Formats: sequence, C-alpha cells, structure tokens
Amino acid sequence: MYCELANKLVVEAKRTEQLNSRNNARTTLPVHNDELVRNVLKEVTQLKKNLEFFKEQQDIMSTEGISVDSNVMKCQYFVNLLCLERNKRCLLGYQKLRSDMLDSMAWENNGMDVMGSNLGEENSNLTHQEQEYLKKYSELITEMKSGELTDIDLSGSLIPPKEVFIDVRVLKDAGEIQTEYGVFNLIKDSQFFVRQSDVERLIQQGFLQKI
Amino acid sequence: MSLPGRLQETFSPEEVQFIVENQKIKIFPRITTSKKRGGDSSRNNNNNNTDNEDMSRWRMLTMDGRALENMIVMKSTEVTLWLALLLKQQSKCNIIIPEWLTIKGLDLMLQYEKRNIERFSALPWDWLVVSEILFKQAADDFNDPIYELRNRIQDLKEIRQMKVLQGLKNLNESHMQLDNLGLLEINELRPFIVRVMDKLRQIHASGIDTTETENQDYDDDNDIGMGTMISSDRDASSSIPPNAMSF
Amino acid sequence: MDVDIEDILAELNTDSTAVDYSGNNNPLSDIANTNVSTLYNSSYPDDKNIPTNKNPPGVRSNTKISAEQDYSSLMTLWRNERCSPELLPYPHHLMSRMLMRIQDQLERLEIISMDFMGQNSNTIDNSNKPINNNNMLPLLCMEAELERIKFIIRSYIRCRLSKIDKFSLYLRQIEQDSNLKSLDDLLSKDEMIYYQRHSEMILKLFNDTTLKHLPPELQAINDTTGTISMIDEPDWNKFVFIKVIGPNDKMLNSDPLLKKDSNNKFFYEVIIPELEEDVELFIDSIYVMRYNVIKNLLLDGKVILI
Repeated sequence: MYCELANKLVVEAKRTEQLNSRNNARTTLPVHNDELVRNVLKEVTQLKKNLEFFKEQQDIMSTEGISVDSNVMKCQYFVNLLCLERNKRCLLGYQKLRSDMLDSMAWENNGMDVMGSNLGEENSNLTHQEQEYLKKYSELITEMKSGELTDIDLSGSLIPPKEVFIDVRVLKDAGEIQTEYGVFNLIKDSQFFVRQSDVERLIQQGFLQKI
Repeated sequence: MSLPGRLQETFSPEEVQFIVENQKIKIFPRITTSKKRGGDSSRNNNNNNTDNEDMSRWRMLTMDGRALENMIVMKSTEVTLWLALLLKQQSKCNIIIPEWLTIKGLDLMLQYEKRNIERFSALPWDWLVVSEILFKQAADDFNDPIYELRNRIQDLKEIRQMKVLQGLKNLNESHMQLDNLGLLEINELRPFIVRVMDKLRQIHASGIDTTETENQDYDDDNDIGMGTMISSDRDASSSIPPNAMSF
Repeated sequence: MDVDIEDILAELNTDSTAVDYSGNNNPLSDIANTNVSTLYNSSYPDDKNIPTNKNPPGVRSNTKISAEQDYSSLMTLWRNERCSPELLPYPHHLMSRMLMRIQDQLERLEIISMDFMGQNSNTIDNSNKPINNNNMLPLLCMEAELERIKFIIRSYIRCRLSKIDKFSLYLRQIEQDSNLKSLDDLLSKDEMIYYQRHSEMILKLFNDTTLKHLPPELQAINDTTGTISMIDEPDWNKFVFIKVIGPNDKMLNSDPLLKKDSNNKFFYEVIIPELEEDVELFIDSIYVMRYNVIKNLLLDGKVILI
C-alpha cells in the first residue's frame, strides 16, 4: 500500500523523539535510515508516473470521445496525489525531527565542533549532509555566544542556579587550586566553602564531595 | 532544539522555585551593615586601602541594595527570599516565618477549604513552594513544631487536589476561573488542562463547521442542529455565577 | 570624600545609546547623571509600581527605570514568553540596560575579588574559609545574584530561539507580507542573524536530502496550496493561564477599558468570537483563556501569563 513505507519513517522518528524526551540525558540519534528514505523516494517517482499516466489516459479518452466514468478517474488521480503529498510530508518530518535533535546536540556541546570530540562514534549515525549541517549550526551557536550576549553563556545550564556557593569536603589530595576567592590547598578531609562552578570539575573527578 | 521539549510545555519544578525565590520575605539580621551606627565612615580612613569601603558596599541589580546596606542586628527588614536563604546559610540572619505558615494560620485556611467546597482559600500563590523551602532551610526559625505544620500543609494540598479533581468535569472549550490556585498547583495541572481544553475547542470548532455546511446543504429551517446543541451545552457550563470556582 | 571611582567608571560606561531616553525630559546636561541613577538606584522600592511594560520602541515611559523594576519586568517577560504560543516582541531597551549592568557588575566584581586576593594572600595558610568573613558577604550575594540574572536571560533567549526555529517559515511570510520593519521590532539584531542563517542552513539540508529528489512541482518548502499548509502558524487560540493585573500605573479609574460591576469590582470585558461569548476578567483573578482573546491585554501588560 502506498505511504506504508513513509509511515515507517514517521514511527521511527516518533520513537527517537520519545527516547530523547524521557530524561535529561544527552540527545542521541539512531542511524539515518538511508534505505527507507530511498524506497520512499522511489515510491514518489512511481506515484508521479501514475499521475502522468492518469492524466494521459484522461486526455486520450476525452479526445477520442469515449465516455468515461470521470469520477473514478478523478478519484484515482486524487488519491495518488494525496499519497505523493503525504510522502513528502513524512520525508520532511523525518528529516526535521533529526535536525531538531542535531540542534539539541549542538547546544549540549556548547557549540563546539562535535566532529572532533568524543561523540565521534555517534556521528557515524549521521549522513554526510547532517554532519555538514551540525558543523554549521555549531558555528552559529558559537557566534551567538560571543555577540552582545557574551556575558550570559548562552549554552550554559538551563537549570536555575540554586547554590552558587557550597561546602565541600576533600576526598583526595588535589594540591592547590586558584579561584577568584583565593588559593585553596586541597588536603584530604579538609572542608571548604567555595563557588560551585569553580569546583564542578573536581567534584566530577571525585576529588571533592558536596556536603 | 534550543530549548528542551520538556521545558516548552510548562516550567520545571526548579524553575517554579526560582520564580518564587524572587519574592520578598522578612528577616532579623544577625549582623549590622549600617555605617551610620557603630563607627562612622571616617573609620575607613585608618585603613590603608581606600577601596575597602567600596568593597563592602552592596550594589544589587535585582533589588534595592539599601535594605542590605542598612541592616541592623535584630531589626527586621525585608529582602528577597533567595538572599534571605543565602544569609541564613551563612548564619547571618533569622527568617521571620510568615503569619499564614503557623498552626493558627493554616487551621484558618483549612477551615475555609472545608466550608467552601467550590473555592480555594486565599493562601499566597507560592504557599507550597515557600513552606517546603522554609521547612528545609529555616527549620530552627519556626515556633510551631514542623511536623504539625507539615501535616496541615499536606491536608491542604489534599483537600485542594480533591477540589481540582472534582472541577475537572467542568473543563470546557470556553474558559475557566481559578482564583487562589497556587503557582505549583497551576504548573502541575497546566499540561493536562491545556491539552483537554484545546481538544474540546477543536471538537467544538469542527462541530460548528459541519453544522454550517449541513445547514447550507439542507433546509435552513433546521435550526436545532448540532451547533445549537453544543452551544447550549456550553452555556450551561459557563453559567456558573461569576466569581464562583468554575473549576 | 564620597567620590567613588566605580561610579565614575559607571558613568563613563553608561554614556552610550543603550539607555532608554524616551522618558527623559531633562536637558542634555542631566543625562549622564540620570543614567547612573537609572542604572543603580533602586529608587522605586514599591513592588506594586513595577511596570510589566515590555517597553516597545516608541512607547514613552515617564518614570525613572530602576534596576529592580527592570529585573521584575524581565521576569514577567520570561514567563510570558515561555507560556505564549507566539513569539513576543523583543524588549530592545530593557535588554540593553540589563546587559550593560551585567557587564558593569562583572568588572566591578573582578576588581573587588582581586583586591581580596591581595589582602588575603598572607593569611591564606591559616584560613581555609576565606569567604567566610563579613566583608566578603556583599560579594557573595552579588555573585549569586549575577548567576540568577544570567540564568533568566539565557533561558529567555533560548526560549525565543526555539520559537524562531519553530516559526521560521511563518516569520518569512511576515517578512514578505509586510515591510521588514516589523521583524526588526520582533527580533534582536543577534536573533535576526540567527533566524536568517539557521533557516538558510536548514533549507539547504532539506533540499539536499529530500526536496531536490521530488518532482519539481513539489519542491517548495512553504507550499500552502496542498491539502495541508506547510507553514506552521502559532496556535492563536491555545489556552493559556493568565492573571489579570490591570494598568501599569494601577490607576484603575483612568483605564478606559476597565469596567465596574455592581460590587465595584473592576474587570476587562473580552469576547470569544468563536463562541460569541462575553467574559469578564476581574483584576487579580486567574483564568484559563484562549490566547487570542487576551493577546492585546498581554501586550499592554494588563494581564500576565502564569
């Protein structure tokens, strides 16, 4: 049946969307379904041929004066046209969802070039055009960050700041760190009151623990 | 997407708290910042660093910095909640618990809620968030036992939720009035209410469309069509007296 | 001496075009002075006086604008933007004042903390909590505050960008239908660049992957002749939660749109055209209402979205 393939594309896009809306985890994209897209495009070509055929038939019959049930003809033509339009919508919908996800990825990556980063393996899921797009969009983000909004850190966290300053305990010796508030000597088991953004890294790396 | 999908429908709980934290609250400072008292400004002159005075000044961008520059120990003043919490965390102030967040205040609200089945009591719009924050971060500033207060907040939450559930059957395609519903309550209900009412609106609109074409196709005398049915239905649901909780 | 080097610096910084002069009737000589107080004096501690006006270009405001007021307006704008189905106008003046204050504050904080570093360098060894002294307290609060302002602007702009993306074809239609001017009011300069460049690259992606493989008559991205229009418009009738707050100046009697009921309570009367129904929106009340019905009240700052 016409449009069945396109429907598969939509279902796939829907699944991707659901997977990504579930939590705060990083956005991921499954492999681009080249084959399905190609097959839908083939169907489009077929539908286009059908339309031309119907049109021809109608012309022939009307010139030869054969009385035709024009309603049946019109209906066939119309159904084919609708399928054609629908296929277009599905193809674009699929690509639009993927580009939305690419946008999310670019923001999550602070507009850095995703290509060179550790996201490399995920990128094999992208088509050549998508990689190109992602690169350009990342550049655009970088540009937006450095404009008049340069103090804002546009790609920063969308979770409201809660505790700007926190108490931390040192789990492992980490030497001295320099912050705006002076030098801290991070000796095991000592405690500090510091700005969270200054030590985020050290917490992630397991040197410090939030109390 | 430059804004994650989950934030496009409603605010996150963290964002609701962020909004509420901009409200004012009264505190008793435990420090004095006012230069007028305790030593005049000339005191700074014997400090070799002339910028020192400048450094201890508060120049705030979201509130009147003068309230902070003029703090006097145990003399109540008003600051935004997030700042009060920061001062509290530094043991620099005590928070004055608002009147409504006492056993007496909450009991009054509970009474109202029980007596008025169709209305919500006039709790502040941020009651759920503020009570939760203060229980957690200013527990020692309460005079009433916190567990008693918690119980009452829970009771209020439940009784209001019951009303909300009761009111859901009044959802319609026109509008609703929801006075005194709190921000957190609204935020939690929003996706559901908006989705249902949007659907009802679409159904209603398509109903009108069909009746209009039907009326054109058939006898124009046929006035008691679908459209009239629906609109009279709606009239019934929206004919609740003004100001009543039509929810 | 009371002269503060920071104030002089601020004065120099603020003597730029970014400040909203529209309400300033003072002679030129006053401007620098006014600006400093505009930037830093929270001379309107009265909460109720805060205009929710987005201060669209051309609208005159006769009150001095305090930092506190601006922040409060920004908060409202952020919440409105998040809740409204359409992209709302960009508050050009408000944002440039905001950004300027942030830049100023950042510089100030840097100077202060550098100073502290110098002071504390000798005592660091015996004090593991250099922040925990009273002199540090203002700095701490200002830092925390700055993070909050940065967050709200970030979230606000990111929300706007997502709408610009969502309605890029619709914006293009506006751009073509009317003169370019309207889009300039709607978007900031940076947003305009974003809109143009992003729609360009997305169109290229669609072209390369899909459109160019379709029959020529189906290659348009903004086709409105098919069974379904491809241009996504905002859902104008989407239901939103509103709170009615009345005119900015709180002068209820002088707002011609306000009516009084038998209990002397003020309300705005609105009409839901689709239902041919009149609704009374009372001051301070909360409603769920179709966006289109309250759109004008929203743009005038007489209702807010919650």
